[in-house]
Amino acid sequence: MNQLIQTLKEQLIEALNLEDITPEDIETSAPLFGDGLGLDSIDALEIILILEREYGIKIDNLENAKEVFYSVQTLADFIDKNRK
Amino acid sequence: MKPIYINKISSFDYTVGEYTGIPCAKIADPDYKSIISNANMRRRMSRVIKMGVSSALICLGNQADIALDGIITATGWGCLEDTEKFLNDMIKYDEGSLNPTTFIQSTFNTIGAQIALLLSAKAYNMTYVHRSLSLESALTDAMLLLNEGKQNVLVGAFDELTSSSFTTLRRLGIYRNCLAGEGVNFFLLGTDKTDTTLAQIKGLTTLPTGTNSDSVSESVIRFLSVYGLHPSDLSLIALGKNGKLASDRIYDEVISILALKDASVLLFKQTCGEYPTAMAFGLVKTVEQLSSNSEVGSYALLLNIDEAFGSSLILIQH
Repeated sequence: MNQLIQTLKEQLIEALNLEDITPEDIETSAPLFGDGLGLDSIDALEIILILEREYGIKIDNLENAKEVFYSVQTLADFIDKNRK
Repeated sequence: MKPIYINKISSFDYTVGEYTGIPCAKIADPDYKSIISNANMRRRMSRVIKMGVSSALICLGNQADIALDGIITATGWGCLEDTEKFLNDMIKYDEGSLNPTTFIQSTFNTIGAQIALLLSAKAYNMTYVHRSLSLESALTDAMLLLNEGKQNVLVGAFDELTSSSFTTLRRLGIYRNCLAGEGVNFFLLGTDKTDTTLAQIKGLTTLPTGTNSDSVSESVIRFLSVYGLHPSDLSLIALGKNGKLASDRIYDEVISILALKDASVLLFKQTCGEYPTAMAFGLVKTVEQLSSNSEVGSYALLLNIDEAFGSSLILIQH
């Protein structure tokens, strides 16, 4: 799980072009949207593409999106349970 | 017609770049972080968007809170880097889900929109994509707006050179004997003369395609006569000579036919290279040279010849 979290942070930094931010700067349990990293809806779409391309998780209807996309930790948990 | 003043300009320095060992004129990138402070907006911007937004902000300077009546941009190529990435991803991911950011930022009006977002400017916002006459179209629109009673209009022109565009255009022979280039320039136009006013745009016109030296010379003389001028009244003539033999011969013959008297000649594409909105850089250099070296009231003419897509003339007065 720790390796997955580290990789996910690196993928977020690259895909979202987060300037001057290293994986160590991202708190694993901190919110990604609003507070924390301050991501927005376009970033959410970019994260969906990471899930699809890197982990084979295709999202058609995510009812609990708010919980899954809350933090790096919740995203990693979701990937761990659903990746192919 | 109301007088149209160029109250502010912005331009970047050039550096010699190269693609596959062939030199080209590239913008010397400034420190964008110090110009675009909003990190969340900046991180999504490709190079040309940063160039365009930075140029607009520098142009406005300490007048960033000015009430703009319009933001009008001009480009021949648009935001190529994002367009190339988006199209490459289409192939790479077999037309599956594609990144939203590159799609959103690949559109031609992205820079005008980003400037409006940063300035919270809700006024008229338009982008002209008319190949080598894009700047002229944007300036015409701005002049019409100002004549309708608007007071301040921001006009900008941008085109970026990328590795792919260089390779493709070079294969098509666009850069045979001429320097490939790119550029971004902005102008704050207004109907009121201010402390920062640099020059006045007296007029501009476009010429049909397929020109020759006789028709261009006749057009220049006719255009100047509208303002009661003769070629000998010009202090400066800026030419879009780019090294291409056919069009350079027309420029040389036109200069000979016009029999200019003591006019300085400015060859702006020697610095910025060839790109669709290079006239914007020519306009910046003309205004700078006219306002620093010539008497108040002196005239300069810009001439750009593009046999394929249309030529243009812009008359400036200090």
